[in-house]
Amino acid sequence: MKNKIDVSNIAKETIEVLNYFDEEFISKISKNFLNNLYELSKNSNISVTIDENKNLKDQNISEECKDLLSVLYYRYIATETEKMDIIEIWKSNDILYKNADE
Amino acid sequence: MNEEENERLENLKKFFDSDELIKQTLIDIDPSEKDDYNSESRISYMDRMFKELKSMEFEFLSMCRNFGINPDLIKEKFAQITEKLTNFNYSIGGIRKLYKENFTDLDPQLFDRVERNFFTDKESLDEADLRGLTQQSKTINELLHVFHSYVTYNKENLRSLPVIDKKEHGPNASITLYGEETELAKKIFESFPEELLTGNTEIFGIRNKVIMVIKGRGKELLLDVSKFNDFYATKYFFPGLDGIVSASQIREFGKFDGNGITGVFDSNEEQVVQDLFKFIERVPLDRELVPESKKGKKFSAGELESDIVRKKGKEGRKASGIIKMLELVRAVNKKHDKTQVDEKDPEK
Repeated sequence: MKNKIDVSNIAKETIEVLNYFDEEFISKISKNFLNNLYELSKNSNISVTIDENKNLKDQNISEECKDLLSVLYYRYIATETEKMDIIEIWKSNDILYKNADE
Repeated sequence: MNEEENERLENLKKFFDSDELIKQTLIDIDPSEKDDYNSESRISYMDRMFKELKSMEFEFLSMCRNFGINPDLIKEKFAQITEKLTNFNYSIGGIRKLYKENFTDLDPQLFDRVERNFFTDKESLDEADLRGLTQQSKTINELLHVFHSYVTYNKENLRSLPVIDKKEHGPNASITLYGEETELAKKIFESFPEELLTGNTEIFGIRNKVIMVIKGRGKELLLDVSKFNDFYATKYFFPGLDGIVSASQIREFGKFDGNGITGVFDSNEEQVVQDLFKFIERVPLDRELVPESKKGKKFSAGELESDIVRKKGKEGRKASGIIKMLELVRAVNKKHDKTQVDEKDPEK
């Protein structure tokens, strides 16, 4: 498990990116989770810059932040059918990633 | 002041009088060692307890009558408490336990739920919430806190009070003083700094309390200034921006309770008004809550789904990375208070 500072940095980065999401997405995420994530982010000193002229995929955000955003999508937005589909994509990507390293 | 406004003011005054009377009664029936000395003294104490319970029920029913609240809530609650007292077996040491468990205990989690439901920026309060919280109350003290908060922070009630005075504040706003012209309310109204930027501000004076609703700061800033013997306690709440507030803007404030920022600070008699204005100045203006750069740029769930969640290939999300992130999510959720039910994660 990542050390405490890494976790805080991921939390802060995610909170800052979430600030740019529309209300429709944010309203579906548990407020308690957001609150706790926010509390975790307080220990971070990193600076996060979002370029409003760029799309989400082109933003300079960490892989961990993208992973966390994906978990939030999976948990709070995706239907059961979509979840099965998404898991298959993630598993395939794992295999491709491992194959690329070999 | 018209007749209707006057009647509402009188009802609110009676409410605070009842509130004080019930609090005093709770203190008066605190059992002493003498009350628990023998079975005779316990019987005598219980007689007194039943009598005072009846008089407290009467006060609560008056509150219901004056504010159009369904009295069945109260009758039901008092019937439950009466039954517990009736079933008491007069055991040694039992009356103190009975007193605490039925009269004075105050569950901190219930307290927080009351604050989250009633001390907020909601324009009107739902009697369904009052009903729910009344059902959750186990003691008279808890019931009193529920009713006190419901009546005191109900803006419809407050705005139906007589207007004492009103003045312009800046080019587009006003300050209105309602209720009783108490010394504190009047002082706040008269010395409100012209240079302290706010939207419309409402000041409600009643007995030893001033409630303020200030637009334009923190989206809406709610303040309750109450006098306790030789000091004043000021409780505050503001929702900020959509439940997510930037760390740099609110780091100096107290707790973020999921709805907004909430906290309390003390002042003495000489400093209370100045402390209040200094605090209001620290609460971000509405325009400061949403930096210009954030306006207009919105990512969507659809964009997240197509460009990140479902991306295939080396740049896509990997199951191994996701599993690690689930550990983080579990760690975050561990902080979650297990006694609260999260509507979006009821099985958590």
